Amino acid sequence: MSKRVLCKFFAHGACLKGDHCEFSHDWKAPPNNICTFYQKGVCAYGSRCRYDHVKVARLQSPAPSSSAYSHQHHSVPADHPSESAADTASVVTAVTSELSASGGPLYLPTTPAWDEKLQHPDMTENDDVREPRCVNPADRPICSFAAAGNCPRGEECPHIHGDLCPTCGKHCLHPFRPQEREEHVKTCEKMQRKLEALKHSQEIECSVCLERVLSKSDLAERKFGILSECDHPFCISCIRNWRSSSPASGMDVNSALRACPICRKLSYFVIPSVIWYCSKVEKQDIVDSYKAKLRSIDCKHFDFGNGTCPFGTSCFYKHAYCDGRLEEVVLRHLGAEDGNTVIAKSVRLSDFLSNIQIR
Amino acid sequence: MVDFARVQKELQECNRDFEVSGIKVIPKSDANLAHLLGTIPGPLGTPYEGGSFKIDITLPDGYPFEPPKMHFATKVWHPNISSQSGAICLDILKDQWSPALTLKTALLSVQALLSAPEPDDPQDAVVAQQYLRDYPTFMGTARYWTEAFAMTSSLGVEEKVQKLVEMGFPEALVKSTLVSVNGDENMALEKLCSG
Repeated sequence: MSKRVLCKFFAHGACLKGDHCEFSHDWKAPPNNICTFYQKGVCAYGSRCRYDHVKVARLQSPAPSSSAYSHQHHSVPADHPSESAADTASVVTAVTSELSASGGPLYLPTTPAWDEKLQHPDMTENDDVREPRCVNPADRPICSFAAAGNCPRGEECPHIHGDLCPTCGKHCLHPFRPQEREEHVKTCEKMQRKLEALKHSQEIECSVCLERVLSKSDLAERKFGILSECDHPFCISCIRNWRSSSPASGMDVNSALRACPICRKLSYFVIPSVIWYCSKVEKQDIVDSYKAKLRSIDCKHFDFGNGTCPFGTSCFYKHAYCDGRLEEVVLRHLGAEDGNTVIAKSVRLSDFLSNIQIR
Repeated sequence: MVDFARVQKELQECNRDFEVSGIKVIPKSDANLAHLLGTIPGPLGTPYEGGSFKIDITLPDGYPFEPPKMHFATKVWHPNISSQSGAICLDILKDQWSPALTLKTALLSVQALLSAPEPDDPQDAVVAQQYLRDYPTFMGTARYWTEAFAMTSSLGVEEKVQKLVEMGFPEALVKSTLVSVNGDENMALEKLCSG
């Protein structure tokens, strides 16, 4: 019922309460343009005030005025409406009983339609007395002071104080909106986990440069390089430097450079990440989101079908043609002599032609 | 370019637990951290016991992505260390290097090499031959070399000076040479002979 007045915040396009706002978010609703200061006596803006300076007690809240109006109605001829009501009721009974001979559960309006109107004022009056209490509790906002941490009004606060969120330690869980509660708890826990991971990540040192990865002087280097096969922390620049360094004499690329500098386990790729993980699941999340991101980027080697990508099916980037069609790869398996199957590389005629030397 | 921030950290870290490991790394000059001098104690229970071996370390530009170049500055009788040049035959200083290794861990590996010679993959063929064919003589030679070259610190400065003067060098020159090589008797002798 309070939704009849246009929400000021909504009018400015910035109401945070959304569907739960106690004011109307319907442009057809009239805005409340009455100056509250003028109502109390003095408005400092005087004639320059952008709100209406009207002293109208009945305009201020439509509910009591309507109740006063209907009270008059009620008190006027007490017997006349009831008489007519009895008449109509009998007519209605006759008609309905004829219509539904089966006589199932039949609702008989004991009072005529207009009489309901007469009853209404009492209800509205009640509503006015305990206005905030009677509104559906889910529609009422929670106290923003309490949600922020501390409500100065304490017990006497007219607003609902939210329940304590165990994660963020604030009274911001709405007691009557289960969906919102769940959502808050979920996001809050997620944030908390992220914060903890970040805090944990701050402490981690790169085993190559011996510096804390997230405190490196170069901003671009404040990233971890996660190895796919083991859990040793390095900063992205160190591990990439090592993997791309030219192998010294006798150094084998696979056994030395692509191996973890600490455990020498072979990893085929490095995943950059700003956060270090604590569990296998978190690591998988990081890897998956990284791969998903790369898969949305067009491969520059494939070049929409114009080029060939040396990484073939193992490429992390998107292999799509100009029309958006994805490359379809048919792998040809060849049986090798030792019984293993080998994936045959695609061979083009041009590969041979370009090597031919015509004498 | 050598990562000097890391080298600094390594030096601090290494010298912090000097009491435990006995391994020390100091820059040869304050200006250049690419030339260092490492010291390792001879492992107990070996002919190198009681000796203090100096290792000359040069950091290549690519350090820590390239292995540091190390060779013994103290003469050692060992199958995997050249008795002439002090060159060390150790895989982690060559193809098995990893940037996660540090100067300290590399020196620890060299120390481990002293206690576990690999005569089948020798650096010095003469020493390796002796090790395989005449083990007691090898032990004797190794012990003698240790006592002769790696235990200089047992002598006082006066004794060193006297020893060198007895060899026929003028006392003033001996003293200044000893000071210039930080009191290392062998290095002083080498310097006196060469110059």
